[in-house]
Amino acid sequence: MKEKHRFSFTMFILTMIFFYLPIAVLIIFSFNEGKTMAWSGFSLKWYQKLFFESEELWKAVFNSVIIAIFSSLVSTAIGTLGAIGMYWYRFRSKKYIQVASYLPLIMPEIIMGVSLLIFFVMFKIPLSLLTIFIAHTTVSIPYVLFIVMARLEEFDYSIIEAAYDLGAKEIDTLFKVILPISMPGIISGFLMAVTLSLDDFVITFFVSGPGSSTLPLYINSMIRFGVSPIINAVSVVLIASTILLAVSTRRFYKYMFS
Amino acid sequence: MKGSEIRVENVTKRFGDFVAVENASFEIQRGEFFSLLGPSGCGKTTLLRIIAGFEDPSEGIIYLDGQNLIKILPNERPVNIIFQNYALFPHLSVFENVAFSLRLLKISESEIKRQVEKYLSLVKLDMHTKKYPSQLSGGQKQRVAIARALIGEPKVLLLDEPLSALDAKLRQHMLIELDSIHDEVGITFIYVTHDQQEALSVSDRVAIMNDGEVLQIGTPHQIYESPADSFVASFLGETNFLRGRVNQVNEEYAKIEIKELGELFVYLDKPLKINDVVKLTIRPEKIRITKQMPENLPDKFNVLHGRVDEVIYSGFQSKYFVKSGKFSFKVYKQHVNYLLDETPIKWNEDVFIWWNVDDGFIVEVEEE
Repeated sequence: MKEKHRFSFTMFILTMIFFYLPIAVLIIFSFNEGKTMAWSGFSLKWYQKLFFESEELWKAVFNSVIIAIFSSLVSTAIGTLGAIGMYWYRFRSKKYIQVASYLPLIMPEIIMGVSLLIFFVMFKIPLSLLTIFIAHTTVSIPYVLFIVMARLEEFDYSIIEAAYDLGAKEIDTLFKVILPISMPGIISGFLMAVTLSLDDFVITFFVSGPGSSTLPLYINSMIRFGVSPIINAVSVVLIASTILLAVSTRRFYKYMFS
Repeated sequence: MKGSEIRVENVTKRFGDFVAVENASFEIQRGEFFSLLGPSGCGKTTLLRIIAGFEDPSEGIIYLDGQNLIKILPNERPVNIIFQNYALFPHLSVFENVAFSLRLLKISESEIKRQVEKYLSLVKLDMHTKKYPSQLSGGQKQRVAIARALIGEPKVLLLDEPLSALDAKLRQHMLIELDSIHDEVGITFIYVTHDQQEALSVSDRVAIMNDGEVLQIGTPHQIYESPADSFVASFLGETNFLRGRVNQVNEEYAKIEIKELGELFVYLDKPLKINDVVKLTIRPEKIRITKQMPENLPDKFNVLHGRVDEVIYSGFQSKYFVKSGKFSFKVYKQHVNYLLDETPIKWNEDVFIWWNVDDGFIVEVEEE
């Protein structure tokens, strides 16, 4: 019994080390004085460089955030409407449409990237922030659809009939029953879309144009000239903001749905 | 009298090749407690959904107080439904669930509060108004669903197997309460169920359905005591069936010859001819069982001799399976005073079973 415990505990520690050691190293070396991977003293100079001497990087961050917010809003709106439509109405091609909308979930990103690039080139749409926005929106829709659908399917269809029966018109049913009950799904879908958009590299790589770099693309281009500790510093900022976001969403959920 | 009368006229509903309801026609009176009874898949729920407006009939018309209901959308019909799974809105409190239909009508807050409280007290649920459906027990959900459906003052309340999700004891209790709510609000109730006990105990009239067809409509004792056919007879409780040939008919009774059993008399509730092959039925609780040959019987009794094949004692009654000739009869005996009775009848004893000729019914006739 004790042996068994010791084994699983060891496995747990090893797994945690495997997960978090690289991140810990990254955080530690963001405070390193020197430029190499050898400790030469504590310093905040890379943070100073990050915050005051990296205009290009902040432009990329700004692009990333703007694209994430707008593409998530649009894909959440489209995905939610799609999910509600498929839950609400019974039509013959429903099964096929459902499968077709989930397909991009399992499609390799590289194929999505290439096909979107070909599409933009074919219609002579110049590669820019706009094309990245379109690409991210497209890719996020199935995720939102899937999450909202899963939420709605927890409820029996009879609640729609109950609303009609009690005198509600379609519009009342949408705003007073369907949207409120799918809200947790909609919020999860939105956050999923934000996350997908913020750290997407492959698709963005194909559809970005000159001057329309996002943060992942920018970091990638920095690495080509050697690993600068500025990357460590920006990573630490990203980790901190991710944790902050996760905690506040949890708080928000608790406040909203309990 | 509040409530409305409903007239169902030649209603047929097909789903592809499947006929869910076949040419149903009947009338439901103002304020009546009317049940649609049948096994699952018999079309009773489909018929209810047609009245509610969730399905359109393939053919036929439904009138509510003489007005054609078919063209009216479900949200404008003066009819409300209680679903089998209650279909409460999970994101709204008990109060808001009940207030749902009033909120759509731009009614003042104080009036809404007054109405909701009135209907919640009607269903005896004044306490838990701030709770959400997930925090309620099955019986409480049921009460919310009833209050929510009644608050819009419908002319007809439709109930789709409302008690099937409750446990047996609670079901009995809610049934009595539904009956008293019906008495209080006085509107027409249409109650769909597959449980014959529920239907028999609260309904003014019952329609029995099978395979999309309405087989018989009548008061509970009409359908139980004089079933129209063998399906109705066997669906409504236990019964014995016998098959034989008519060999004598007078004005009131027929004599049926049953192979390897003998001759039995049966009340003539259908016109019969000599040599007709008939199926007759006798309910097990109508048959009496004794060790001695009953004496001084008027001639209106059938008496058979047999042997007890099986006894199932269940406290308030015993079920005997009595073998007579090739037939096994189910006989139920209520223990009015078990200990004072003659010595209890045991397995493998010789007994006499006998019943009043008027208690047997012909349920099927095959003419020769």
